[in-house]
Amino acid sequence: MGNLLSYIIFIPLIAAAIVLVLPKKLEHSYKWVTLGASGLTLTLAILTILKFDATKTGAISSESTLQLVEKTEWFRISLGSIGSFSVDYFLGVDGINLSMLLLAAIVLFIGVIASWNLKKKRKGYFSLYLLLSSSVLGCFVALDFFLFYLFFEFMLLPMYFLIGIWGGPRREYAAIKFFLYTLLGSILILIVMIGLYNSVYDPVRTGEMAGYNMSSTSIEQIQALVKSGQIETERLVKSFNMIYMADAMNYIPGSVLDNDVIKTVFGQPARWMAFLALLIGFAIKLPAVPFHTWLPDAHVEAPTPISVVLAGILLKIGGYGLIRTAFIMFPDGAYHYSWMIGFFGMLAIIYGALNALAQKDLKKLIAYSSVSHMGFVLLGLAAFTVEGVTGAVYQMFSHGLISSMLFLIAGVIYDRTHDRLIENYGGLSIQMPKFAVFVGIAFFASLGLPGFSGFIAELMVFLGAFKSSHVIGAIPSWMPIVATLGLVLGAGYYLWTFQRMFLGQFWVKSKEWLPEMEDLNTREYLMLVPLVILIIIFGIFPSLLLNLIENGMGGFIEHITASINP
Amino acid sequence: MIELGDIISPQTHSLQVWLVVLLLAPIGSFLCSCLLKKSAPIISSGVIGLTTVLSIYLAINNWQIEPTIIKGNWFRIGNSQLTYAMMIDQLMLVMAVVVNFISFLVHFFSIEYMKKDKRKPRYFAFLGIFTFSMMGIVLFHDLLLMFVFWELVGLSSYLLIGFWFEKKSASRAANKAFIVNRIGDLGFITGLMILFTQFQTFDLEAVKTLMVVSEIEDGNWISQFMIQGQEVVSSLDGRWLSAAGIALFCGAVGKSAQFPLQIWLPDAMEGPTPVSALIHAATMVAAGVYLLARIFVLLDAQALEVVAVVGAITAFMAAIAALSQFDIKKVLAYSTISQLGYMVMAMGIGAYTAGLFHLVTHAFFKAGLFLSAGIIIHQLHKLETDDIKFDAQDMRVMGGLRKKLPITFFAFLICSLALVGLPGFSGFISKDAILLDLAVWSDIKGGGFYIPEVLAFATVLFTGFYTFRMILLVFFGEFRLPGITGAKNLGDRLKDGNLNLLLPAIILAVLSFGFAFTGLGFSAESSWLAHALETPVYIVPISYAAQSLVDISEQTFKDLHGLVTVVATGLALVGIVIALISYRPNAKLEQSFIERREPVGMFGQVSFYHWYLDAFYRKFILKFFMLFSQASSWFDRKVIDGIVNLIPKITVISAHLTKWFDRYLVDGIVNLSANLAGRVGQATRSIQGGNVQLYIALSFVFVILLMLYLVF
Amino acid sequence: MELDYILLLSALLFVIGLFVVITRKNAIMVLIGIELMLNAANLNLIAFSSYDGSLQGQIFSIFLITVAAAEAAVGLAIVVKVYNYFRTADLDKINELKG
Repeated sequence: MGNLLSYIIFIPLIAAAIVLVLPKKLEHSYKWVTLGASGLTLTLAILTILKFDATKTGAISSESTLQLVEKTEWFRISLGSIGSFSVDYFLGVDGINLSMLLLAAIVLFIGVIASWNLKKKRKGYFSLYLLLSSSVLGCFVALDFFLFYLFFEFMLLPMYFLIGIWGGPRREYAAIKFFLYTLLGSILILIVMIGLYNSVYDPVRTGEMAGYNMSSTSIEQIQALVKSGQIETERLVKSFNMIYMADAMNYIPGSVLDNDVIKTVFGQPARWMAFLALLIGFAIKLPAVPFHTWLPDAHVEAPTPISVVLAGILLKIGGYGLIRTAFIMFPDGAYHYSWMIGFFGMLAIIYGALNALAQKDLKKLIAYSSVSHMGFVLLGLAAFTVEGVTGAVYQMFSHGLISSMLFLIAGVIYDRTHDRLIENYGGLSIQMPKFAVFVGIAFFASLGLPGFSGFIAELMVFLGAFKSSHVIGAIPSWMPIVATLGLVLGAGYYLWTFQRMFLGQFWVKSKEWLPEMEDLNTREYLMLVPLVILIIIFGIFPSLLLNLIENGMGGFIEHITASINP
Repeated sequence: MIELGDIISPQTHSLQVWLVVLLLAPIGSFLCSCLLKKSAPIISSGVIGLTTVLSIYLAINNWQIEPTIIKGNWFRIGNSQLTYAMMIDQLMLVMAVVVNFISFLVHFFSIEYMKKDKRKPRYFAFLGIFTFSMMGIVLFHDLLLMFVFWELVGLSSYLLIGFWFEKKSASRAANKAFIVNRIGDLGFITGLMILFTQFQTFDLEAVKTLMVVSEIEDGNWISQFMIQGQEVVSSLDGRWLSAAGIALFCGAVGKSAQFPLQIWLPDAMEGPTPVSALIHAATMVAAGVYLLARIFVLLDAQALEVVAVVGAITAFMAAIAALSQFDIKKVLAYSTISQLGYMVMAMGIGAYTAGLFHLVTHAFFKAGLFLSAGIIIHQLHKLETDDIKFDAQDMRVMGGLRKKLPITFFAFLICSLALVGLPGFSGFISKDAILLDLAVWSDIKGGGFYIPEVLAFATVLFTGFYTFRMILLVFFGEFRLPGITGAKNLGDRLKDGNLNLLLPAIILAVLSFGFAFTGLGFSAESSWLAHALETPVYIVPISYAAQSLVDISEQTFKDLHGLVTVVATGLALVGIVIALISYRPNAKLEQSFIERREPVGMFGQVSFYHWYLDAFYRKFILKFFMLFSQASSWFDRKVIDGIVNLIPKITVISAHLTKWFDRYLVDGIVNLSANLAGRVGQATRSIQGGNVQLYIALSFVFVILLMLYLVF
Repeated sequence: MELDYILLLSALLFVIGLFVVITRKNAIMVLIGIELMLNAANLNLIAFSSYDGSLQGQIFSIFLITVAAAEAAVGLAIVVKVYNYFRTADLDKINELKG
């Protein structure tokens, strides 16, 4: 079990291959294969958590903090006089991605249960789903930018087809919108990735290349030699290693993104521009206002399990990417733009909530509530305080669970009537009392009621964001205070929706729906109950997760504040 | 320097098991009610009965205890350890008894009241959640955990108000209650943010300890302490100190239905009446006052002034609103708001003891009033048949019930007298104490601060009026229902409730007598309760602190006491007399009362519609947000998505342009050159006509031209 | 006798030949025109020969007359062949070289 993370990535991939080769006669076994693979992945993810040593501390820019590392050179290309570059197959977990890995495994597993009754083109669906699983999981554990980008881009393909083939009436529009939007973000990320590869070298391999014995020479010595120009450019081994990219010392002197000699692009320091490009790239994925409009369309058109995966995990890649690349690699840029990030976070919280208030479609409402909740991630990150950043990560984790549950709930209704308009229902809690209980739990969890995980996350974000102005001055203190308005608006749209759909006299728009309005079945319990339990557990015992990520978050904050003079 | 870690380090105490039992037993009641559907009422009442006994036992046994704190770690973020802490002091013990006791009475009452309801188990389960959350607020001595339970109380209130969710008005009232409470909670969260930034902890004990040593320097609020051996200096602008107090008070404004957020409480009467007794009269709405008591010492002068003024305004406004209501529960709701206004005002003027005293006495007599009203409503409901439908809460259908429901009448009367504050009843003692402190406070402050005093005394007058108006309309005169419905013998079937209904009302009526609190004494000073709840001393930095009433000589109080008592009692009596004159049986107002749909005249309208606050919120605030949300939705769809869709459109258009360019310009040039070559060929071809003679002629011409060229 | 006159005569002769060559439709006539032009050239040769006193020109003209005879024979033969092929001797009709 040394290659735990590789197993996590490749088990779904192998399962996808199995699904593809299984003959059509065994169509019913596809979902079992998928379930088995996701179950195995989940087990391995839990095993990863158990193996993870939470007490390990250290700088985020050092490989020593990573655990369960797998690192093999994938390929290396010599570029003649400007050195060579190497790409690694480099996986590992630390406090930043551990929670995301767990979340992804949980949500993907629940997603399989949600796809249980799918009838249309099952082979394609389940193989694409497994492909998606593999790339999502890979994205979270990959620590080589090249590999990360590969997985990041690879998610698009299955997602595009899953929305475009199995989606609702406007699926093509939604799928193309999703694809193009995300691709635009990817291009910005790609540009920065190229810039980074031009600027970052691998001190270990460079040392080897230059003929030093790396077992006796420290990385710092090599860095000093490069800095002073004693190692020539031909012998530099450029690297995509994200951990090296985090260390300002690993930037080649005089390169585009060098920390010491600031190059400018469009009159701005190149590092700020690189940060901005990464910010926009990942903000599209997050999604942050004003890059969010793909989300409602994609959610409304996507089939339930895909909505679940989309809201539960894919959005988190945006936040994770911001932390892992933008903030860690360009803390100076992050600090410079922190006011703007905080402002857009606050804006997203309120704007998303206001939009949710105006929606008539249940899924759209939930989609906009996601926009609102993801605003907390931006606000927390912009705070530059450990509370804020921990809150942002906790919010991603918690929102992954809660939004999954919300979309499952929308799916329960949609399965029965193929209609999602809020106004077409009334008094459902008379006909479906158990369902109403779950909806109530999900709604209250999402509006941030204490006892559920969302509250802890939002509280931490608020605390961190307010503290920020007095400790480090990243964002002004009115931002979190204004953002609290989102809590009221959240209560407003959820309770109003609950009132319209579930309270009052029982009423549905069409008589034909009446026989369909049955309470939850076993399969639906199976996907909702675990989520409820998790949401409550992480709401009451946040330390379960916080203890795991505490050192990672501490290291992160230490790293990004180190380069700033408050 | 103070080490924060030392203050918040875990501490245990032999009593903690009992406290945990006290906290978790209601959850047991909730689970039992969920699982054992049939026997839910009995079991949950039994569980709460036991916790009541336990709380009384704990209170008696530990009455003299030094305030003791139990602490533990909850979770940590960064360097800050967030803890939970439970405080055992007299205030907590009193509150625990009040909450459990009234909760038990309400459970007991509900066995009969909810007998016919098919969702009984759910009702008792919700009561369990409520009791649990309320006990959480009472037990925990930690702002964060108080906030947690604060919100949970909001949830249980939402669930119970919307218990009859088929009624649209009920679900709407539930939403309103939750959302309005949430608005107040924004303030609470802001307060939490400020205090956390300054002190890095929510533990009240730690906050207080650090507050004592914090200082104001150059307008900055600075506190220095250590966390795990590391020195921390927090510095905020001094105004944040006032802001913190006001922000936390906002939470109380929401929960205790204070101006301007009191609009939810009258609507909350949509819930079952025992729930109104428990949640919207005795306990939950008092949580705001309890919170103020807990953070009392952290409030600075400015915040306290805000608290006092808000309380006075609320008391006055609600008293006015109560004057003209038709719905018996609405009258009680407004009177609750009004009394809560007194309590909050008391906190604001520094009358800590009096405010809390009023909380306790009010909890009993108001719960008694609600339960008695519940009996009336319940018994009247029994008269409803398929043919005869009426609103059982409307006082226009009542009248003359004194003879039909004699025991209820006496219970109601006693509790009413306590509400009015006539000597001998509990309400008198506590209200007298508040008014006395208020008089002293106004004298100290002077100027505009006499306004709260005027408002508070006017409220006394109005309280007397609306209370006796209610009593006269409900219990005196003729039973009006038969006249309205036309069924003559309806009144014969009306009788007093059974023991389940009456016993709680009687107990609460007994507890509304003054001797329950003061024995044979006459004023608050002689009460055992007042001695237990000593006013603490403000600990905010001195330049921000208010003048404490504790520092004022007793003589000042003594001098004013007689006057205050006489004026207050006199005003109450005047109110009663006016009520008697205008609403006595067969008086003009009493006669015309029944025909009216709503009061006439501007004053009547303002009163009936509660100063149009509700309309204001609906027409302006709510409408603003709805319009704003529509606008932002439009913006999202048309502008942002429009731009997003425009980009592909522009791309497509430019692609077409490129195509055109490619086809006509680039291709055109290629074709043109080919064409030109062709044309040239064509042109030259004509020379090559195959006509030899022409060739010759041309060659000759060219030879001649060549020669000419060569020659010249 | 003046050289000029002879040159003028020869030029006249040449132009007449040329005119015949360009304007006549019949191939035979064209050949005749060519003969005229050749003879104009001959006349020039002889005139210059008598003018500078050497015999080269006259000898060359003798050669030319011979060649012209041979050429006329060949030309006529071609014209006959052309006529046989095209059934006409009209040069406008025989435009195979037209591009």
